[in-house]
Amino acid sequence: MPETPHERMPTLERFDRYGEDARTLVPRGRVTMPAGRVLIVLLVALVVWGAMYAPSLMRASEAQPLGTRRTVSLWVLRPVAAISDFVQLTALTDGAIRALGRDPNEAPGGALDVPLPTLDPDVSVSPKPDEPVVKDTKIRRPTPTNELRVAVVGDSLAVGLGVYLEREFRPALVRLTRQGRISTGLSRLDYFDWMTAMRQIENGFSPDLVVVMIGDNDNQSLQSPGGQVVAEIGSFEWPAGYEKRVEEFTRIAVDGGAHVAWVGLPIVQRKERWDVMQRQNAIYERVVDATPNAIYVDTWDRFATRDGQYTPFYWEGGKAELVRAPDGLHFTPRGYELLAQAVTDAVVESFRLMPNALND
Amino acid sequence: MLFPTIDFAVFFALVFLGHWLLNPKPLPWKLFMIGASYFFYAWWDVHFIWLLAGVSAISQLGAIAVARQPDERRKRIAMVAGVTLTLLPLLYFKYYSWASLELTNASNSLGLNVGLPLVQLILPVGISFFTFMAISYIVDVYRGHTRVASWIDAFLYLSFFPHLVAGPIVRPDELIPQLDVRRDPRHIDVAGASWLIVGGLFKKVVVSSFLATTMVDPVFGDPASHSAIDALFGILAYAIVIYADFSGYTDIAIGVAKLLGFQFPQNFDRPYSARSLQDFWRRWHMTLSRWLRDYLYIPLGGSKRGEIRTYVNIVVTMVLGGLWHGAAWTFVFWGLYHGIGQAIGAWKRTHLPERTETPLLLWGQRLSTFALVCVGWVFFRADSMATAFSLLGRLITGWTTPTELVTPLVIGTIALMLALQYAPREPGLLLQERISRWRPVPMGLAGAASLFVITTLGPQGVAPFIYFQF
Repeated sequence: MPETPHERMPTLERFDRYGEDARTLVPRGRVTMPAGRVLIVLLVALVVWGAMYAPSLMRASEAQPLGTRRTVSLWVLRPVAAISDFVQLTALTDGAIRALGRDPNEAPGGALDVPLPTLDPDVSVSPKPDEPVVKDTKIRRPTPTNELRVAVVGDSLAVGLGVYLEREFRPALVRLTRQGRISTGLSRLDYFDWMTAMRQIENGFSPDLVVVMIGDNDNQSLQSPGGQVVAEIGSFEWPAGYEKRVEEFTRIAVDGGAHVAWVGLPIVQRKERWDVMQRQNAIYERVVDATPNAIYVDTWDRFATRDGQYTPFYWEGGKAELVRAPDGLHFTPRGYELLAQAVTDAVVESFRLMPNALND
Repeated sequence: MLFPTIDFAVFFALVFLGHWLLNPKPLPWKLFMIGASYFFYAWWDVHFIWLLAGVSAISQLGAIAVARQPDERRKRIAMVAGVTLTLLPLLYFKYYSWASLELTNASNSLGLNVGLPLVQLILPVGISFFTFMAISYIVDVYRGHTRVASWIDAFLYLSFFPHLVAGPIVRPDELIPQLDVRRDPRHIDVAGASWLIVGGLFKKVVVSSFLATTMVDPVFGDPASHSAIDALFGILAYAIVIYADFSGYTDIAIGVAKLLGFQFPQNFDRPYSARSLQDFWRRWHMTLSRWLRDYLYIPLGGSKRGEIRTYVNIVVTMVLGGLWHGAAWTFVFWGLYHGIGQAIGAWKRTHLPERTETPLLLWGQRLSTFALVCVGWVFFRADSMATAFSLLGRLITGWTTPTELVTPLVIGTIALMLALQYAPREPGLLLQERISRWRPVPMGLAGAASLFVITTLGPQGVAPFIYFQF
């Protein structure tokens, strides 16, 4: 008997013969839809969502590094966002975003969303210096009633470092806040404004020590918080402009009463990045050398081979340990532990931190 | 390419169109789907498409070799050879770095100084999943459960993008026959698929991201500075995070396959309502559990070689299952823990009389199983055994430390996700039935509104799914 067209095209239920009890089947009573209509569902969902979310997507695209992806994204999103504005959809969605507890105008990198630890009102916070700090001082002695306050700030490397640095300190004597934010830096203040964030940390937490590890994402044009290009990458203005930002950032912490440990960028697997990263490290070192209460912690040589090459391993006492992540930039947990130890060693040595503030 | 990204949304819209346009023409359709799947895979790292193609070719050659042998003994030799060759890339990429480091240090400590060359390898995404599927293909041909597929079908079976990077681990007899049957373009379960995709996105982007950043990362990062309550909720939060992350991924994968007219097996069935560890593994990562049962536990002898051997087989299977998740002692311990737990359960079922079922017994079993599973998750998540024990220790020693992380929102999210494990299925099914009657435009608008809520509540950018690293 010849097959009818319907028999040639099995319905989903007929796949049952290939499966087990656990297979998801179309339950009886549910209406199915032809592919053409499903495509309409998909397109309506994508286009309407795109129109609703266009302003946020556009801000996120503007914050991307310059390149084809950014250009194409903006080329697509600008007219969509304009239409969304014109038909008042943006006002509607802004209201919805506020109703969901978010700020529709926040920078793409977000606000400082890790809550700062609440300080006991009885704790005496060191008064901020009236004048800019001009000479080195010893870091204060922590006590159980007035713990040393440490803030770890920077990019994804600081995120990892913060986790393991917290383990180095004795919790009874040291209070640490991890404020690292991935994909941030000092070049793109339009994406995340570290100057404002640092002031918030100073005002809200009054750290005694600020550990900074930042710069991996900074090989980009310098942009202001408002999105204006201040210095193009590769221009003569860039190094001076970047150095000025490093100075300002360090000064916010130091003049707020904190000591600063600036952790330099580590050697990375991609050799083509070495020149840029070493140039940045030289800037950090130069600024920190000229700033009181600030030290530079080198990581480049610490994680390089004897002949200055990249290695993912660290040898100590005849034992090898894997310390770098497969991306050739970040660290493994053991690598972050070694990095954290390097920071605490430097802080004890240079700022004369009481060794009892550290775990045994 | 991650599912919860615009890249994937655009990719899928184009693939959906091409898929249904080419549906009446099997060969162009298959070539199109292989191309799309390899493009999807190459989005991470174009170099590893050769690995995927290589494993596909080895498994197909292995299956052909098995089928062509005239007798059982030769078939078995061909099967073992095929499985071994298929496993080699996984062993190399996943375990060589770890093993060479451990061996080198062990030999140095004994003064032998004869280590293997140390290298750091990038683990290709999804290698554990497609390798296991390739093995099941060869073994199923050997067992006569499936026939040798055409080269194109074999390549599409392993690379089909909805399951490619993190499962579900689909058996050859579940997927290959679907490749040869023309899908019906008139009957797509769009309500069921959308339910799974939107629900999966919500679990991953909102629930998992929120609990991971607010509870899990801080608590597992430095257990010593957190209170017992923070530690407890950190552990509970991780149980939800890994469930929301992995089941969210699976739901999206099954939903995407559904829109293309394919049926995938379920991978999760309310695992935190399990009454024993054995029951848990029937509900958690179900396609891995059955793979371990069919291709490891049963070949080891299963329960057919005496009581002691049964327990040994359970433990060995679970240890290897743990090691499958990653090359670290924490995963070995996690597998051992579950293996011993299941072996004790098997002993109890054999030697202790069955108790009368009461609500107290039922809830006692559910809660104790959940507690055991949560303890296991501590080792699964911790970066070292020391961190795991330190965190568990805080549950006893951390009562004088102030609690800082636990908020009503954290408690509410955990409670809601656990309550859903026990919620009746009917309201969800009824809602899907209602949605299925909507016309395309209202359904699309509802989808847009759902996506808007998810993207607004979620963080900037989405972390890769936890199971991608396995």
